[in-house]
Amino acid sequence: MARVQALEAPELRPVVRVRRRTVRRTVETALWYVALIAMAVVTVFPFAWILLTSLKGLADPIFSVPPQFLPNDPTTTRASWTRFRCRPSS
Amino acid sequence: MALVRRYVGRGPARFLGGRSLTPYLFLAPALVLIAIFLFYPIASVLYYSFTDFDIATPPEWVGLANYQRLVRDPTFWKALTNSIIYLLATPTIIALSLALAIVVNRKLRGIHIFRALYYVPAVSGSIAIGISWRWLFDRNGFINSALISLGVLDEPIAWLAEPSLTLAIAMLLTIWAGIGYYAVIFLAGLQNIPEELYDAAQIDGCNNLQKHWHVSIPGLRPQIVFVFVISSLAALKVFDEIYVLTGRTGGILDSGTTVVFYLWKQAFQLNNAGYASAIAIVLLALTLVFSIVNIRMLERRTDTT
Repeated sequence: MARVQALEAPELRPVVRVRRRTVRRTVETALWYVALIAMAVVTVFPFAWILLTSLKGLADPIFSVPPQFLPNDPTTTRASWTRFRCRPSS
Repeated sequence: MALVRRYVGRGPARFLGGRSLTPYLFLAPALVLIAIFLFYPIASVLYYSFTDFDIATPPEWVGLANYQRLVRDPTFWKALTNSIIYLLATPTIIALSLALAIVVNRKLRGIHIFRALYYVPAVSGSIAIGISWRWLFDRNGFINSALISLGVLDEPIAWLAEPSLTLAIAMLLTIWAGIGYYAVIFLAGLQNIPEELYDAAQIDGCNNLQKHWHVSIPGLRPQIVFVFVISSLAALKVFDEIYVLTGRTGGILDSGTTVVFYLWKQAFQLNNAGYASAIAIVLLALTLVFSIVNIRMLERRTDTT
């Protein structure tokens, strides 16, 4: 019996260690992605803000507290894409 | 004998002390362009710096009067101080873009997307970037409204009208816009460092941070020197950020005025082209000294390896 246990134990141990390592690695990777996304927000935000502002209608506030991200002026939202046409429709 | 030897050789042209003229012929087109568009303008600026010149009427020789005025001009000294403060952006940019390159060098899924996103500011025009930042930092802009709604601020801060902040925000803009570009240079350097060096460092008992300190940074020395040279010269010559962020004013009490901005203001707003030329010559001398120091650094580095 003792001999059997001695054979089984070393087989079991690596399994536990591997699982613990994969958990640690997953958490690590997740943290890396959080950092990468945070940095991406910082670099891209000014451009996103320009794009969103370009879509805002006349009734949408550009300067407001709290800041408004998406255009929701119902009368001009659809029309605001016209700014991206070659010849803006007046 | 010497004369005979001088004219012996192959090819049609044997002048210039026995050296062939052929290489100079190949260089000629580039040299002509450089002469017309670089050396001639520099020479004429040097001439104008000794004159009283308002662009519209012919220049009038005044000798060293412009330089004497320069030494006694408090705004010029303020601009020079600001430009030298601006150099602080260089070490910051090196540290941040190096860190970013090391992060982005990890083999993670979708890392290419992040690399591309970080490079977006580098492919955008400085005026477009400047305008977007002006919006964000406006008194009623996004930064203020976000901070107020988060409860950090009670009152909006006039970021760009605050003399103590003007230069800092411009530097922040330079750093933000430059990181992506310089990180690409560092990334290229990192990918040239052999993997074995990291393995060896690991065997010697280095943790992740020590590996980068002992392998990545020494391996990136040429890139670091290059980025140092490029970004410090860019910092000395900064103009766009100041122009847009301060709305062509140079900031309240010249708080954001740098040497190049002051040069532009004297030349094109106050029509003192002669005086502006004197500023340009001083700036040229400054950048020349800086470049020589930088090139010395580069040479010393290639000698030791």
